[in-house]
Amino acid sequence: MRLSHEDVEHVAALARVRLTPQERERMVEVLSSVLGHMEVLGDEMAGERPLSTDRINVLARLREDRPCPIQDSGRLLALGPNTRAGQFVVPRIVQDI
Amino acid sequence: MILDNGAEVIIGFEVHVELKTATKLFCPCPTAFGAAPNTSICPVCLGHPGVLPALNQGAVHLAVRAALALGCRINLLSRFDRKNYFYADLPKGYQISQFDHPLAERGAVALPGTSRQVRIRRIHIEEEAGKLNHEGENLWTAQSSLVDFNRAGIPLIEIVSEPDMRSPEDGRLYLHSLIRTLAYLDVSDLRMEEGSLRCDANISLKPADFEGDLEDIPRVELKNLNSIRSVVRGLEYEIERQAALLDAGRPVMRETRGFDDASGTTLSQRSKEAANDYRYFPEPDLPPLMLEAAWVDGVRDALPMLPDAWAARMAEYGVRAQDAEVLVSDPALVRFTDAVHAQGAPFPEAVSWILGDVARLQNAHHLPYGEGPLTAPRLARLLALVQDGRLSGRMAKEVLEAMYDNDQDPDVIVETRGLRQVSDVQALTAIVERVIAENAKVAEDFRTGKEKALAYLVGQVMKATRGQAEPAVANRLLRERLTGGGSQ
Amino acid sequence: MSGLLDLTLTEAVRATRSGSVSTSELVSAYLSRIGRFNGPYHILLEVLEESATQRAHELDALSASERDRLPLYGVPVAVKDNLVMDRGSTTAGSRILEGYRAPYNATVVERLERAGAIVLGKTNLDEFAMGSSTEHSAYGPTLNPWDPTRVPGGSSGGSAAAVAGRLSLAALGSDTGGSIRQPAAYCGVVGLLPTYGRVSRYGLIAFASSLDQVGPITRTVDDAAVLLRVMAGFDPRDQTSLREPPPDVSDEASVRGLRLGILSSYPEGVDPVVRATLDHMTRALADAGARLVSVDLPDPTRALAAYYVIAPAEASSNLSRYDGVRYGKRKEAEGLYALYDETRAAGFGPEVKNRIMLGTFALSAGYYDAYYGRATAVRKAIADGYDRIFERVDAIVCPTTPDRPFPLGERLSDPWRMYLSDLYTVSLNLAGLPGLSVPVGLQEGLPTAVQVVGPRLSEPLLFRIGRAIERAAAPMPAPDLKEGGAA
Repeated sequence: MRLSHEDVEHVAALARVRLTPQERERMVEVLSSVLGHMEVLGDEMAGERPLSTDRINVLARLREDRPCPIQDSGRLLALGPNTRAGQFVVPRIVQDI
Repeated sequence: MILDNGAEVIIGFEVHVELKTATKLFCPCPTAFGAAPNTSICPVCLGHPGVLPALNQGAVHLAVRAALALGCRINLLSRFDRKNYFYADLPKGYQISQFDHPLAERGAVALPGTSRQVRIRRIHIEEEAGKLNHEGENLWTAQSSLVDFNRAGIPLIEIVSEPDMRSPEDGRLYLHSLIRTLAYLDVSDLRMEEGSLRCDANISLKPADFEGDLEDIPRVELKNLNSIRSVVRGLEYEIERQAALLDAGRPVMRETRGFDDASGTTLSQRSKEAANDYRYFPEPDLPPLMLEAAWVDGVRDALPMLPDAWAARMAEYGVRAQDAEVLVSDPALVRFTDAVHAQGAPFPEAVSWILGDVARLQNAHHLPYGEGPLTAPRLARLLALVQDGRLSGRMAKEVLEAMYDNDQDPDVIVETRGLRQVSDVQALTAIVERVIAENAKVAEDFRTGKEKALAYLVGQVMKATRGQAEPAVANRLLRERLTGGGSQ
Repeated sequence: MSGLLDLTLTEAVRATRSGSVSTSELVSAYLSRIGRFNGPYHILLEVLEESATQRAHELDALSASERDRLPLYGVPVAVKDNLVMDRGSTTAGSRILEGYRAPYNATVVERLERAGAIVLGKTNLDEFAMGSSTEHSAYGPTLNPWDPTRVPGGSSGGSAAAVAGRLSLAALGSDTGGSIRQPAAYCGVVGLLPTYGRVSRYGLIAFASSLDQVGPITRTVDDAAVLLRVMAGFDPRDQTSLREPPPDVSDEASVRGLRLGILSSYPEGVDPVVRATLDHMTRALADAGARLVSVDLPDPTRALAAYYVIAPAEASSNLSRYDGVRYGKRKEAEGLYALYDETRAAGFGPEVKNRIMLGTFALSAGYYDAYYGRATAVRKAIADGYDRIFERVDAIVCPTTPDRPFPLGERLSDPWRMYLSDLYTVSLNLAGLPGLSVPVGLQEGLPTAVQVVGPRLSEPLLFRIGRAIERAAAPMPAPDLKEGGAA
């Protein structure tokens, strides 16, 4: 499978990574080359059932619904690169208006 | 609902319900409502590096209760999946949800007052996102937004209906019935205005000549519906808008539109963002969830009686349909009524008292049914006193009010106030004869045709018995004595 | 002092408990070695000198009976920098987490410290553990202690080099497709990938959640067994962790009567030295009483292909959280989506971008079935294949890597060639099986290793075979580190 520039641009938009033109060039080559090695996967499809029963969550093993005191929410807030009034700041969400 | 142009209205709903657990879905942060921003957060619900989700037992329990109450089959094996997208309120860049193996499937909700029902396609568990506070008028004009993650990770169930509704009124009935049923389970606060219950509507018009799969008709997903009234208004507007497009021979676009409460119209919410491609895949941090059939049966057995069953029961006992509707709309009300009945009061009498004076007094005292001085046994006792003829209706009302003031049993109030209805004919006859004798002139007036005079005499009997005579009996006895009818 | 650094973990605990050596002396011996060689070899990203010294003092003050209750009393360890600690910074080798101070401790770090271990510092790694050479660290590569012109392997290259170079007595690594075993092999130390779920992943910065495991890197098999016993066990914060109790530590080293699977064929490109060493070792095990049975591994080439779909797919999702909003580096931009695009463009290195792109593509509409779906089917077939093999043999002895430590820079421009280094390791992660890499001495001045693979939860058996290998192999000397490094 060989990817086009448009494919790479589309995937970069989904992955939310801006690529420079050089990076995009490189990515076309790298991804196409790696995907070429995927031919060996064959045509068998996975079933929908879970892998195996040794990895099953049973109710008794889930977390009990008992609250824990909040440790230090201030410390978590302080890790934010841009905060105001006890909240995390994000720039304008809608851009095309 | 068939429009003038022959098109049929097709409506389905996706309803999100916040579950009333003590902690979030995947971390032990309290779910307390109304805390200061970003105070109920931890590394897990903030999506810090290295954290893992620890599924909450309580959330699974509440979700299963809700699904069973809505008649769903529980999938004993269900799976969590990641729904990947970027947004400011989504800490991890994905939402943990359930995609191809939901918790429950194939339920139904009856539309009250009709013989129809709306099928439930599926119910799944997922996590809530954080809350955006826009620094501006709204999302569209805000130059920046502030994010509060207190809400992030609160458990939700999403209830997806089949497109079985045919009019905005059907939609209203469905939501009413759904919310009413959930209210009996105490699984959620169910407040649409606060967002603990949110609903998105899918609406399309099926042209008269259309044959084929409903899925192929372009449908509009309607969002921002913050009350049942908004739902109805939004749907009505959309029907008009889409019908006009069809009439003009223009296509209806498949899109998401937001309802604007102020204008009563809907606005397209298309954005330039990359097309939705959520890249669902199984959540590797949570093994598939396996429930035991016996446990599910236990949850089913522990379900309370639900509104449809209550309504049927009320009808059996002779409660009028419209009264039954009012009663079942409030689980506390219907449970109180039932408790009064269980103490021996006949249903119709209990209902008429409860929907009348009791409702007025509980409301005046801001009390939920079953709380405060008026317990079910007290009301049942009061009704028994009336039933026995020991209290008149008027006296019973007095005792009822006194109960709110004094918090005493009816018998105590009757005793201390010396209330006792005299309906014993023999005892009353003597008093009636004495009153006639003492008021000979008035008695004569009556005999000569002055009807009004009788009322005076009844008053005198009441006075003589200090109000304890049953007025109807006094009236009858006086009339008999004065007209000579039914004499000894 | 150099005698102190040659003590194994078991010997060190005995020495510190008896008081013949204080934990402070032990720690300061390691810290001074770090002071000399960390610069040139770039093994630790951060040295926690102050907290390590302080902790050593506290431990020295404990009574004899208190010491006896701590199985890792005074043991200096290095921790791969993708395990979070609420001290110092945690970067996962990425710019995007530069200066990030984690607000909590990984469960496995907590368990080690509670058992008396002292964390010396955080080790270098390929960014987000994506790589096989440690060259993809945003903070520069680590050099191989045996030959500073060569890579130490990766992604736990810093941890393996720390243990090999005597900059730490033991270390924690993480293994998603070989990231403990391959660098252990390249550096001449012991590395264990535990059974999936044996060790809690809580606090391990996720690369590919269904494949990631934390494991020990040590100088001897016994040391790995002692560490695993402390690390393993159910953690309610990781619902994929197993309920099975941690395995007991024994000194069993007999392979008599064991049925050991050996490979009947090798794909092209397996280094002749690797093959020769392996053949030599399996003959030695046969001499010690093991029965050799020829087996064919589930197709390693298909395993590698499946791995390079599943791991990037999960990674693309796991790394979505690095968006510049709640923590980490941020590049301010006009608008939310521009903030994401710029922050992630600046914060992630080229290999991480490769994998995020690959994984996003493999999950995207129209390609999911062709890539993720088929890879999942192959994964299942591989697990079933191993189940069938373990009906016939007790364990498999095979190469850890098809190759030997390669020169720095050799494979940076050819990702698939770099990925081939994981040929014999990835299938165990796909199947959730344990694997132990044991060094078998130096050939042409560079270490070579063999890998022992067993069924789920067979770690005690792997340790037993590992001890037999250690006894049959030439003893590993200590590398001669150069203060000038590669220069």
